[in-house]
Amino acid sequence: MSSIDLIPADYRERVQRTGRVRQVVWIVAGLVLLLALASVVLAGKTRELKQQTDQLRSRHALTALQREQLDLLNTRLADLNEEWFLLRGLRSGAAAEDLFLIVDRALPDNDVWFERWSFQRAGVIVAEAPRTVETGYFIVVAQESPQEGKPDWHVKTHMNIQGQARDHAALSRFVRGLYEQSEIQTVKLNRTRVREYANATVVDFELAVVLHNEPTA
Amino acid sequence: MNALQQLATRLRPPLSRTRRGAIGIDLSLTRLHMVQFSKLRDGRIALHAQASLKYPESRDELLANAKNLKAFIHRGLAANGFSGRSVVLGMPSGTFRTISVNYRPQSQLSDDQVIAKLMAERLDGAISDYVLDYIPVRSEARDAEKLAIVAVSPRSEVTAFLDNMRNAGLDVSALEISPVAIRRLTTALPSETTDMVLILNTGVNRSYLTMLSGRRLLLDQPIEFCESRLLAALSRTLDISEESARNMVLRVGLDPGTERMPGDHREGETGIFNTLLEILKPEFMRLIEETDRAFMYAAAQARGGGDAKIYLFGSLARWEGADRLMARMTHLPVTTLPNPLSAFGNTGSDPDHQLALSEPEYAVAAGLALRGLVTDE
Repeated sequence: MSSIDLIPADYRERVQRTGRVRQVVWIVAGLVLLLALASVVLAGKTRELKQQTDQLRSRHALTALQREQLDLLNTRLADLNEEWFLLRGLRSGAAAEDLFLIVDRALPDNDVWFERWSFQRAGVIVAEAPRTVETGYFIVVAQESPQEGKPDWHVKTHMNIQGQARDHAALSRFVRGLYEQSEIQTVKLNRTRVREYANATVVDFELAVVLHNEPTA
Repeated sequence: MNALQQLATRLRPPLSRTRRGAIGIDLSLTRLHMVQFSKLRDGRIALHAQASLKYPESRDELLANAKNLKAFIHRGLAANGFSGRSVVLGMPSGTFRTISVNYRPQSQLSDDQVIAKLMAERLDGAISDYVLDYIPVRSEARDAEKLAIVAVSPRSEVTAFLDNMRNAGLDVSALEISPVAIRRLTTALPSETTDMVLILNTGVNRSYLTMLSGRRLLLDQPIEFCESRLLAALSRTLDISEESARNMVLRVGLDPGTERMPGDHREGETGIFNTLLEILKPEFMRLIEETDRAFMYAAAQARGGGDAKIYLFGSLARWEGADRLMARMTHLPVTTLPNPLSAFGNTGSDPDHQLALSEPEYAVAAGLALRGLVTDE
């Protein structure tokens, strides 16, 4: 020992201990400050992300609304297309004046004469269930994807003809002539009866002529 | 500074400092002295920073006011280029005393315990009320009796002083006493080898005699000889103020035999020299008695005489001719150290800088700052 140091050992130890505690406090304070800064930064980032999320969500909501509107519009478009198709169907087919020509082309020479005929062309709304009923003169208008429970449009376009023919052969020629017309879809002979007069015998008949719904070329 | 000097300063290779020493701080009665050295890569020690600041209030008032003390010290450190806050403090004079203790080693006790036991018998009150440390002086005595110089200070004063310095933001690595610091400084100074060195560290109100034998500290004791005592004698005899007496003695000096150049302002003031000497001689005679006793004690402790010399530090070192006067009275070489920092280079050639360094009171602070940079043997 060749030097003097008057700092008491216990004092030095206390100072060193205090220094270490102070160092730890500074480190902890630094960490706390760092964490506080990090939390502030993260909070800012979170706020920014939340804003972005809100914007995206609002955009998504807007998109959903637009999609809903689009669906409505698509539905409306489908309805309108369907209506348009129906109306086009109704509007299609032979014109009234042409029907006379069609029937006239099928008539044999004075062997068949009409007593009464009627022509009907209209759309009616019917339930889906009757779709299976094939009787009568109703023709189902084809639909791409008919929805369940939704009213269906059927087109009733046909001619009812009551008349007399000289004989069954003449009636047969008439019916065959009708079949040969492209505008005619089918011909149904509903009733025939032989009627005798004093000097002649004729055949009373009732038939239904169903026309194509598609417009003729 | 002329252009050549400026160029030389610029071209001087930069000092490759490897280790910065602690700041040595000496709180003298009127000024705060601070010194810091660096140990260079080649082992040399270079001055890094120094400051000598006058207290804005009295030392005791400053020490009692932690806020003012902190501001004062920090201002001084910042303005003068000090590095770090690690300091080696010197206990202020008057707050410690040194006691020479002869003791016989005991087989079952260490030297520390033996000295503590002896000191407990000498001190008033419990030994736990004091802080003490010692340096061995003689350990190879033929009669197996050892000698140690013990520094003692009341614990309350030490802890209060340390607390003040810690509160001022300083990291106190050691608390020393001025004799040890001066011994470290003188052994670090390049000089011819001398067996006995008596250091007279003169203060305003008290002076200290420190006797070194080689690198060993043999003696440290306060003496009544001091600057204020000399000035009071002049003031009383000449019926002038102490300030006027100081100005006069600083102007004309104490050595009538000093060679003067023609035109020297002191030419024709031989009468004043004689008057001053006649007034101050009784005080110096008392000092010489003290130094003689110190040399006799040292010769006894060191088992013989040898070459001897006296170093003059402190406020009396400013009095021109004081060293030559003492040399004539003691018949020993007396060396004044007006600039204890000049030996460590890097002082530059700026006269203002040299003047700033020429504070003999830097001695204690310089010795404190050398702790850890030189070997204490």
